[in-house]
Amino acid sequence: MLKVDAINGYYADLHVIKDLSLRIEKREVVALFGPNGHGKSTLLKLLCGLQHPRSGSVYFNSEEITAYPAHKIVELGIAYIPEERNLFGDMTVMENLNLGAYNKRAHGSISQNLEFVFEVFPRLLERKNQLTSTLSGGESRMVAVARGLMSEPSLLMVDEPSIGLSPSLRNSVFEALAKINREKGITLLIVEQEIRDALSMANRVYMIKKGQILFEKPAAEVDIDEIEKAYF
Amino acid sequence: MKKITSNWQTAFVTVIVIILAIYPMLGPSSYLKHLFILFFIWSVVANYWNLLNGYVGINSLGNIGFLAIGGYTSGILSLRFGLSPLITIPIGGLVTGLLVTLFLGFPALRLSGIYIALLTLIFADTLPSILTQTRDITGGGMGLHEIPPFFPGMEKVHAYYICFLFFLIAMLILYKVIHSKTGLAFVAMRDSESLANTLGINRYQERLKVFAISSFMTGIAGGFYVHSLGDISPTTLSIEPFLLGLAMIELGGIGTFYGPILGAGAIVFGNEFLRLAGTLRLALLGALICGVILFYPGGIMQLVEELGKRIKVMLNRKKVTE
Repeated sequence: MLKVDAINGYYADLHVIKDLSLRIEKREVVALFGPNGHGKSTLLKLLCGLQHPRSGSVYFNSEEITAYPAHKIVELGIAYIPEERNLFGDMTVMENLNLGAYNKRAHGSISQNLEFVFEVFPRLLERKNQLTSTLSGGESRMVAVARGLMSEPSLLMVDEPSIGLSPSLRNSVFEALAKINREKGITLLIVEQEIRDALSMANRVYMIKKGQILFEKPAAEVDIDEIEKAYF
Repeated sequence: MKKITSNWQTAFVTVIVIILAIYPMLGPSSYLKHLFILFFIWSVVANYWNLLNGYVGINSLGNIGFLAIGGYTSGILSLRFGLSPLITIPIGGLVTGLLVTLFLGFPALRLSGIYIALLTLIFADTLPSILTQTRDITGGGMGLHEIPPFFPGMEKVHAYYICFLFFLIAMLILYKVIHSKTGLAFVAMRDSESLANTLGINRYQERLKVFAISSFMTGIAGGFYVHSLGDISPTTLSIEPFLLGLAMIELGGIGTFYGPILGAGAIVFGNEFLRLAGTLRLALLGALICGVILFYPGGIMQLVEELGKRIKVMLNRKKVTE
């Protein structure tokens, strides 16, 4: 579904992503681990079109999207949920969700998607007319994920969905993501630091270090010690 | 709670609209009717200017230029070719929309912040010299006079109602735009352009859209301006109307829907009543604007909101003690 072929990405002049290749199959849940500052978030930005690789290519459903601008990539069905500052605080929950469905492809299925989103996150239904700046950390994460779903994606990329959340909230966010994958068949690429939680739902794992893939394994074969060792 | 406040708002707006609708029947002087006409037109200009500056965050300084292009186009077509204002006003709007989108919208796609401000300022600033160079058509420095009214034999009261209707329609359109998906996209681009992009919002398309909407409606307002007042000259493009326009937005509350309307009211009427102060008029207006920006950066709308909150607290307290 997504194929990344030897891309090189820069953060300003810093060479962050080095000859990195990976692939993601349909309906998979792929977890991306790696220490801070080793290029995980930059990789997601390269894939969603906010930044562009200087060399290499990215294919989505065998269409080359390497140079596409972000708004075009959304229309193809890749949704990206950034780690922070990802909501419009002056807008209500509903307005944020409606913006998620901005692209043309999502117009037709707004009401279905809304129904699904409120089924996954019932809390948002109670809060739908509230300004998102008044929401708690957990609720904000829910809105961000929900808004990603509103764009009717086939691939959802989430940057650290659990950051700053209490263990119980973390669980509910992961459960929601698993449900999205199971019921809607949406492929997930999750960047995470909560390795145990992410491993429990992932099919496959990529470990990234210094901008390169250190190893790639089915989640079942991954040894947590091995990952923790890679962090240091 | 939100429902209650919005009901109050609706009620308040309805009452104001009804008062404005019956006001001419109370027999005000022709001069007061004239002021209200100015208020209607300036509200439209200020609020569509606010759409650019407050909602999308494009710092335009050229909106008086849009007004002048629309006004001149409509004025020339009706004066020189004898066309009905019914046709010339929309043409004026279209011409303005076309010129502005072409000369400002497209270059502005590649610019940001202060550079857009400079570009739009220069755009408006070239107009007076173009006007004085084309005396045969535009009347040069003297401007256009005796521009035909909306219909022959029009009286002030007719102009009042025509401009009032235009004001209502223009505000309704703006309200719809702001509360549509396009309006949300505008605000999203203002708050975080990269985040907006990842939601599928096309920066170029939205920017062209907002330039087209703002200039078209301001051009139309220019048409209503010349056909109700009867003349237009390059002084429309001088520094005073420009500053007054900006002051309406700042004073009323930038990025709010009702703010620029309140600001237009305060400036149009304040400016006229301050004429009693003679040469001190502009200084007093300036002091007022400085005070607002210093102490109430959110303008009149901030004051309204704070008062609203206080009343709400007082009502709640009453409920508790009961």
